[in-house]
Amino acid sequence: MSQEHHQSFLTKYIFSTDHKMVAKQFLLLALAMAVFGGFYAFLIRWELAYPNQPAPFFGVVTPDKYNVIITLHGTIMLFFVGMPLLNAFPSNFLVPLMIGARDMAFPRLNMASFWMTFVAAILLISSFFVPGGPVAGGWTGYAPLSASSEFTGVKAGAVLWILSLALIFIASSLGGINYLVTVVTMRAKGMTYSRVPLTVWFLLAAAMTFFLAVGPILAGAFMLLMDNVFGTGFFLPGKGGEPLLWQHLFWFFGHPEVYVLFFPTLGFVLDISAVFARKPVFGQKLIIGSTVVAIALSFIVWAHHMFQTGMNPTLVTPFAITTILISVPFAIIYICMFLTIHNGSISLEPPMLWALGFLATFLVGGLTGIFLGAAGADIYLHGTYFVIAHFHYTMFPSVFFGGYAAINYWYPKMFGRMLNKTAATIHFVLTFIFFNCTFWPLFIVGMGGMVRRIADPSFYPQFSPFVHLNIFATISAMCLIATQTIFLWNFFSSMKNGKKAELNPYQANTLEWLAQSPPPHGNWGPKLPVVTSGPYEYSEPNKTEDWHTQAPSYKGEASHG
Amino acid sequence: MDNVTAVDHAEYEVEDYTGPAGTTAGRLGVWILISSEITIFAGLLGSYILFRLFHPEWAEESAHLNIVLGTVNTMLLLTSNFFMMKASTAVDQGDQKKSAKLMLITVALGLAFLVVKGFEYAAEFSHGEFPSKNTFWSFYFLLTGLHGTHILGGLVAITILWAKAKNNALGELKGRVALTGLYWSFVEVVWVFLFPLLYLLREGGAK
Repeated sequence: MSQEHHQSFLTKYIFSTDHKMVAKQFLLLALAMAVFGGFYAFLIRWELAYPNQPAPFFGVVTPDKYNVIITLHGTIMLFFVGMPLLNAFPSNFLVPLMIGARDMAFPRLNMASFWMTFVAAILLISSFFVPGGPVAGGWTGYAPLSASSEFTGVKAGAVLWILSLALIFIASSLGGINYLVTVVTMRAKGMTYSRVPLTVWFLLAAAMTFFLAVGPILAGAFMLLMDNVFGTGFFLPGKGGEPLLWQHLFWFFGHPEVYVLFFPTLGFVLDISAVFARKPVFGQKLIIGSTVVAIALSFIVWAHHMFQTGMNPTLVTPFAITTILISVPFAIIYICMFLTIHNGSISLEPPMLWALGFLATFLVGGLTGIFLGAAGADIYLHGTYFVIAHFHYTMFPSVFFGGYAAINYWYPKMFGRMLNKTAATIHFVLTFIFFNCTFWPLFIVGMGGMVRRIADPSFYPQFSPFVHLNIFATISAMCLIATQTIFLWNFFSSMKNGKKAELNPYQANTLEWLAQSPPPHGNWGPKLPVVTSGPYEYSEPNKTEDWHTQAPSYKGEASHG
Repeated sequence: MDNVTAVDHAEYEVEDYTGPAGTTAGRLGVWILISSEITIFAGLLGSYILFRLFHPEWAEESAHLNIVLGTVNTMLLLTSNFFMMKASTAVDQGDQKKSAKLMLITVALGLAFLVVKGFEYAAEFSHGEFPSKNTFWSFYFLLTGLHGTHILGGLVAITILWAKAKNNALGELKGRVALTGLYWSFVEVVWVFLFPLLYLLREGGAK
């Protein structure tokens, strides 16, 4: 049998339809874009601590450049780092392996999804080279700033930004369709839904949330494109349009979108917790039920981003209620996570460290969300750095703690080698410290009344008490960024020099650990695994081993031929 | 190149996948695609309806639309859908040649829709009714334009299937006829919403 196809370089590494190669492409794209996003973060923090002093590798961050930089930082980190890292990469790599399939249901659609994302990234970066420069209206693209060049002086850049986002949204929906269809139709024999690992459940939850939420923002993108290109006035009050409509369309998508970047991490953390605490996940069905409730609620909370817009107070109350209500299902999931590791025999391997770090930091982000969901507090806090701190305490743990947890955990399966454990541990400890040192001061600064979206705080004397906190946050942010080089070094050097990985280095139950490391084209031997048990049967009484695989009868490649 | 890159499912002997009975990957995929598309048009139509409620004067703009051509187009699209369904049935019965003929009629009717739409656009442009005239026309051109793009996409897909079917060469693409028909029905249903909301709503609402 010909499992080793003769593939040219082009079909194996570039235009590959193998889900594992597509996953690696998405991962590399995310890491490359994170370098841009991180550099912009550095410039933002530099300007806030040392206004009008030339930043290293860049020069003076003037207010117009500052606007460009915050816009691109947000756009890149959410759509070009978060979504590839948390949705496309793990969904592609894990979904077929974890459900016992040979590939995705639509492998070529998968390839198309990556290349559309790639083109979208190129479009965004190319906006640097057009007259007027890249878009500068903020990552939320609020109209009328984004709808007409007269406000920011950016025309072609805005068009490129809209096209880039529309393209990555379409690409991500197509990817999501693929993941969902794969799970519904291609589960191995015996892989009932209750035996599907929570990682897959949450990746599906994210995909479903995304393709149900993305329609209105695509509609909005088309309208914004018309405003910019054909001179229409959907969002321009001077032409009979309504700028607030953009905010409604944007946040109808935008709020579910933050869960799109949050659900996958819940899945990773739960699976990793079970493996490294040697315990079953607590309340698997309860978690899935809570997620369904959270998805439903996520579509009716969007106006909490708009409490300050002068919306009808009668509408504020129901949105405040749904917003605070949505913390209930998430609190249930959180408690299940704690109960999963409670009384477990925990081993502090790097993936587990990231999972625990996520639990600690996201809690802060989640709890401060309740402040902002209550309209009364929000109206005071919304324009301040409190929101920045809250947002980064939710998104950074989700995207980076979750992303690093996944990379650390599945690295042996991806590349057949182990990451250097010492370097991974140091990377975690430093990231954890510097992350908190960067964003914790921003809560204080924000409560004190320092407003966001301004380039030069020294211009406002009332912000002078915050100078030292800002400098502290900036130095921490620079250390945080510098720390990531440890990861990059570890990631790339371990591919060649890492210790050879065993098939199942963590003694985990789920199916992906039965495949070779890295799995060959087609993943499995001549026969697919047949699943006979659930994913979390750890430390069962009356058994000699504290784990057993989901498909004990699987012979692997041994019986090949 | 296909047979090299795609995982060749046929080369493995046993494939025991668990899926709901009667659900193929393609059918489920198209349904999800449609569900996602519905939210796009829902976003646009929702925005349009909200605007329309606050702009009773749009009734006068709407009166400039050619209701006769709009009706003709509705008939063309509904009829083309009938033939597409027939084509799908013909493939199920193993008659690819007949299916090809029916698909050709579908494509002709779809093209006729686009031609009529083109005449409408030309007439509107000649009266100075451009997308930038006011928000009604912005919505009109965006909604019909996006719908027209969907028609075009459907026509390309059907034409590809027709080219195969007329040579009796559908092979593995057989299932695609029904799936494309499903998508074609969706495009038609969108028009069923656009036609009354844009053409027929000529009363001003609150006066």
